Order: sequence, then structure tokens, then C-alpha cells
Amino acid sequence: MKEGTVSGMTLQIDRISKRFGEFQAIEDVSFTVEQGRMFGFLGTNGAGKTTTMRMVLDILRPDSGTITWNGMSNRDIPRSQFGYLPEERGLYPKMPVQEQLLYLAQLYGAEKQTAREALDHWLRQLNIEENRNRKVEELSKGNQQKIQFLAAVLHDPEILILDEPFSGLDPVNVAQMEDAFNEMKARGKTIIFSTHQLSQAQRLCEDVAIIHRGRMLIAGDVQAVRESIGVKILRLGVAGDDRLEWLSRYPEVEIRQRHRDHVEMQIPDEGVAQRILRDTLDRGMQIELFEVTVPSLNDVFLTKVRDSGASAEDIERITASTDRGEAVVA
Amino acid sequence: MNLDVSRIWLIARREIREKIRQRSFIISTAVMVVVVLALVLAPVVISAIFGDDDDGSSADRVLVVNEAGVDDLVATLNDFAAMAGFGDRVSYAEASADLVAQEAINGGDADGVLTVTRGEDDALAFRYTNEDGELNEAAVVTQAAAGELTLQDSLARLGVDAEQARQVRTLPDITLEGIDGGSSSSEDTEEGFRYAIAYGSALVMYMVVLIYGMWVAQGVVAEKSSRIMEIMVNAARPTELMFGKIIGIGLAGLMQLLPILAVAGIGLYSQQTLADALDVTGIDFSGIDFGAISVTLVGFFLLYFLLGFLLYAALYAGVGSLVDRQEDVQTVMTPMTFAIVIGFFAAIFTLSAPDSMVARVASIVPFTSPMAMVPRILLGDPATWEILLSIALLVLAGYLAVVLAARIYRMGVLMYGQKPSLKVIFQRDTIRAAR
Repeated sequence: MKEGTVSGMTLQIDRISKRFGEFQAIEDVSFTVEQGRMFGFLGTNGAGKTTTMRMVLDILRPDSGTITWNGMSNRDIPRSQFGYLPEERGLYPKMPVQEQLLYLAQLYGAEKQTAREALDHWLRQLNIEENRNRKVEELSKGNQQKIQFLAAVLHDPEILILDEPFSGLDPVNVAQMEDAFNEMKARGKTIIFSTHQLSQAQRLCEDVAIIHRGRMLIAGDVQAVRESIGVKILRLGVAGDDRLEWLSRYPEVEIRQRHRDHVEMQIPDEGVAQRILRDTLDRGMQIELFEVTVPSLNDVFLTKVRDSGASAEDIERITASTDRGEAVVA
Repeated sequence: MNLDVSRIWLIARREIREKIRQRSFIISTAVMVVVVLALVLAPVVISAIFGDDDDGSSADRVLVVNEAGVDDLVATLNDFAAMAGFGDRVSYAEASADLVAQEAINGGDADGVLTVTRGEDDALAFRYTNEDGELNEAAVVTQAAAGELTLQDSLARLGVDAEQARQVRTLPDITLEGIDGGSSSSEDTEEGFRYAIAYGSALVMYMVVLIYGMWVAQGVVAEKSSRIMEIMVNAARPTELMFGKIIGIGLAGLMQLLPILAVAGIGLYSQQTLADALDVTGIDFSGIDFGAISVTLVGFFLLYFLLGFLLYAALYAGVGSLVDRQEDVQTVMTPMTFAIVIGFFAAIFTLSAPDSMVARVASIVPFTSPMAMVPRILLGDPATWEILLSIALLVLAGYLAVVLAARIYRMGVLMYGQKPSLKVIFQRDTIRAAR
């Protein structure tokens, strides 16, 4: 997505800043989300994701900058165009699921009958039909979160703003939720969601923006973002040698992480990978894994944060909060 | 600001449904209905149990043996008792000449026996017999009546005609006057009843604001602690949310209040019936005259009731938006409670001096006027402009309170765990205005 390419419906966030007292929460952030796209908003806790989303919803107002949807200021957009899943989940605990969801949909301006049909569909889709008449407080955390999602979609909004929609869900629920996301996308809805799980964003999103300490590090198409730091990632696993100390002969190779069965390194280009492959074969070693990919969003994120002059502790903290222990994504 | 009425009603309906579904609502309503009914009827029942255990009839019955052959003797006696104001306490009836006083009294047929004879000088002679020779009410009335009869009889015997006699007979017109300027007359009971209504209206207002205002505050805090607020402010305007919540809880409150007031009214109305049924004497329950409640008065009461509730409920909502947890509600409510108590005291003061300067000010200032103006309309004489000004100020204050509460509520979304400063509340562009 290039700057200035305003084709069709777009949500345009233009140079917004927000300060809370002494704290500069958001500084000069811009990005564009085109209609029907799935947009991942990435960053660590406290990076400014929630503040930005609240500004898009016009719950908070930026000190400067503008937010427009198809050229119209977000202050003038009818509330019914937005679906919102806040980071702090909230529903009436003692109100039954169906009654509560129909109430919220009507509050947004939906017809009761339409909302009921949507409710029937989604309860089936998310496999929670049996909870229709139960009180919200009686549901499991995962099911409550699904209900919270329904509270954001039943009135059929154009723009979905979902703040950490996957946090706290087990893998089965994550998969169901991802299906729901894809269904909304297929209906042409624009979806913006925040997450600190970069691998998930990489899997789901077409576009991402990475924000750190209130500043935008990079935004755009996922593939472009991954290629943006201009390096490749090589994963090499060799039987009987988990250290691969001999790689120190290659000054251009930067070891990123040593896994149990392979080593992950950053290389400047494909040529280096070819030389290492040849070298490995020449040494008569048995290759168990050889993979050259573009960097993951996580790699991009770490590199960008490092480049932005973050301290060592900062990077340590980020590494801990992002994709720790995540399976290698091919 | 343009508010969506159907959305406000949607919000109000949810509040009503949630409230009346609560077991505590149903139970407390039932308990209050029973308590109020008991309070209203208790005086009658207590008098029935502990009151004078009379012979069952409410009036002392005096049997009259007319040996003197006076014309219309019994009728004259009864007329006299009625004129003297004892018509319902002492009654006279004709008895045959062979009546034995002792038997009639011991047998319960009479409380006293009056024998009228003519002496040697042709003058009337009276003998009154009762159980213990005590000078009780019936005896005193009979004594006075005897004097009247003697006078009348003497005049007749002196040749004064009936018409002249009647003129002489007319009782003196005596007005009893207390030093406080109040006169003892039949208007007294109505005045007392107006006073009771005035007190009742202030009391109901006071209770309603305290109880249902607290419901509003709790509702707001519940939305805050369950964090649904952030969705709510996205889906609807905070002002709509405030109006919806206040109207809904107000209506739920009415659903509780109306049965209670109805039961109180029916109870008061049936006090006399119950008293008759239980043969209670000595206490007059018939003084309650519902005619004293005019349609206009009910209109004023409802108007001040609704506007006053709006004002106070909005303040409760605003104050409730300042805290995150139900446990903290009581603490922040103290100043509110204080304000309401002051309003109630102002109303009580109005009862004793309805047109004093304090009462006039209290009936116009928005915070006290909901409780003070209705008593003033009942007992005093407020000028039309005073009433109009009072209503206008109350409408204005109520509206501003709702808008302010909406702003604080709005702010509450973003301020979990923080104390919102006045500066932030009035800041224009920090957050979207409470639209």
C-alpha cells in the first residue's frame, strides 16, 4: 500500500498525536486501511495500540492529525458503522446472552429481526448455541470472549475494531475466531485488530502496522514489511551438531537463535545460503533442515526496534512479550 | 445535541427489566406494602384492643320516663344534645313509665335513666340515674338540657308563645380561640390533613431520591466495574445513556412506589370502616378528607417529583461515575446524602412557616424546591411567578446535571483507577464531547 493511493473506501489515519499530561502516547502516526482488508496492529503492551484504536472510534480525540473514512471525518461517521471489541472485556454479567446481544445490536441501531437472524447464524458458527439463554457470568472465559465478539458484529458494521481479540483463547477457540474473521472479511468488512502475537498477524493479515512507544516503525503489506529490512533468514539443522560453531567463519552471518534441532540466522542474501549449503555438504554432514525465508514479522519488529535505538533491556522485554516459544513458521 | 428517543426508551426498558427481575426488588416491594398497610391500620387495631371497652354502642343511651307529660320531650333532648355538639355521644329514647332504672342500667339497656316529673309548684323536676352516680358526659349534657327544658317550660307557663320561646332558647354563639391565633373549627381537620399531605409529599420525595438515586449510582458503577461502559459509549451517546438509565430506574421505582402509595391510600380510606367494624370509639378516623387533594395538587406533586428525581438521579449517576467499585459508592455518596437531608429539612421548615423567606427561597432553589414547593403550595400562598421560576430552574438544573453526569460517565471509561479532575471534566477536546 503506497501513500496517497486512495482508491475506493479507505480508513485514513493521518499524522495523529496524543499526549496524556507529560506522556506522549502517540506521536505522528499515519497509516491507511483499505476496505475489505484485514489489518494487524502490532506492538508491545503500552505501545499505543489501544489509544490509537480509541481515537479511530472517536472515543478519544487526537491532539493533532485527522482520521477519515472515505474522506469523511470519523466524528461524523454513524456509530452503527463501527463494531468494537475493547481490550477490557465488558458485558452485563447477569443478562442472558441472547437478550444482551439483541439489546446491544438495537442500541447500535439494528432491527431486532435482522439482529436475531445474525445471532442465530453466529451462535451456530462459533459453536455456542447452547449458551443462548444462559447468563454471561455463567460462561467460560473463552465463550465470554466469543460473545464479546458477537457484540461487535451483530449490527453488521463496516469497520471492526478489535483490541486483542485472541488473547486468552485456547487453540480451538483461536481457530474458530480466525474463521469468523475470515468470514467478515469475505463480506467486505474492514477489520483492524491489535495483537502482540506477531506470528498470528503474519498468518491472518494482509496489511500490518508496527508501533513502538507511540511511534510508527513500519506499515504496509505483510510481504513488503517482511522484505523491508533487506535480509533473509536461514534455518539450518544438521544431525549430530547442534552448535554449528564453524559458522563463525562467515562474518556476514548473524546467529539469531539456537533451537534444539536447528540454528536460525540472518543472512544478507541467497548467495550466502548457497555457500553455507555447499560448505555443509563438503563437511559430509547430514542436513535435517535447510530453509531460506524472508524474515518473520517478529524478526522485522526486533530489527526495527533495535534500529530505533532501543536499549538492551527494552529489546529483552520485547523478545519476552512477543513470540516466545512459538513454532517455527515456514 | 440530538437525542434518539427510541434509543433512550430502549435503554430505559432494559433498566426496568433488570430491576424488576431482581428478587430483592420483589421482596422489598412486598415487605414495604405490608409494613405500610400495618402502619396505617395499626392505630385502629390498637384502639380496638386497648381502647375503652364500652357497651358496644358509640353513644351513651339515656332512657327517658316522661311522667310530666312534656310535649316532644325526647326530640327536644336529642335536639339539644346535637346543638351542643354531643349528638353522637349521648342519645335519648322514650321509656315506659314502669321502667325500673336499676334494671335497665344493670341489664345494659341504658347508660342512664332520666325521670321527668312535675312538682307541687308545677315546675319540672328531673332525676337522673346512672351506674355510679358519677357526673359523666351524659349526666352533664342531661343537666344542661334540663336547665333548658325548665326555662322553656317556665316561659310557656308564663304565656310566651312558641316562636318567642324559640328565640330565647337559641344557644349563644361562642367562638373558642387559642392564643396562637388558630381557631377551633371544622376547618381544623382539613388543615391538619393538608399538613399531613404536605409532610407526606416531602417524605416520599426524600425517600425516593435516597433509595432510587442510589439505584442509579449502583447501576452506573456496575457498568463501570463490568467494563461494559466502553461498548455503551460507543453504541449510544452518553447523554442518551444517562436519560435512559434515569428514566428506566425512575419507572422501576414508580412500579414499587405506586403499590405502596395505593395501599397507604386505601388503608387511610378504610380506617373508619375498620374502626366501625371493630367497634372502636373515642378516636375519630373520619377526619381524612380526600377532597383536600385536588387534581392540580397531584399534578404539581408529579411534576416536582419527576423533575426532582431527574436532578438528583443525574447527580447520583455523575458521582457514581467517579468510582470503580461498589464498595466505594457509599463514601462518595455522603455529600449527596447531605444535600438531600438539607432539602428535606428545608421542606420540614416550610411546613411550619410556608411563606417565610427561608421557605420562599427553598421552594425556588432547584436542590430544595422538589421537596419544599409542594408543601408550600398546600400550606402557603406562593405567587405564580415563584412557581414558574421554580419549575424553570429545576428543568434547567436537571438538564445540566444530566449533561454533566454524561460527561463524567464518558470520562470514567478512560479513567479506571484515576481520579478525574474537574479540569479534565470540563476540558473540551481531550475526549469526544458527551454527545
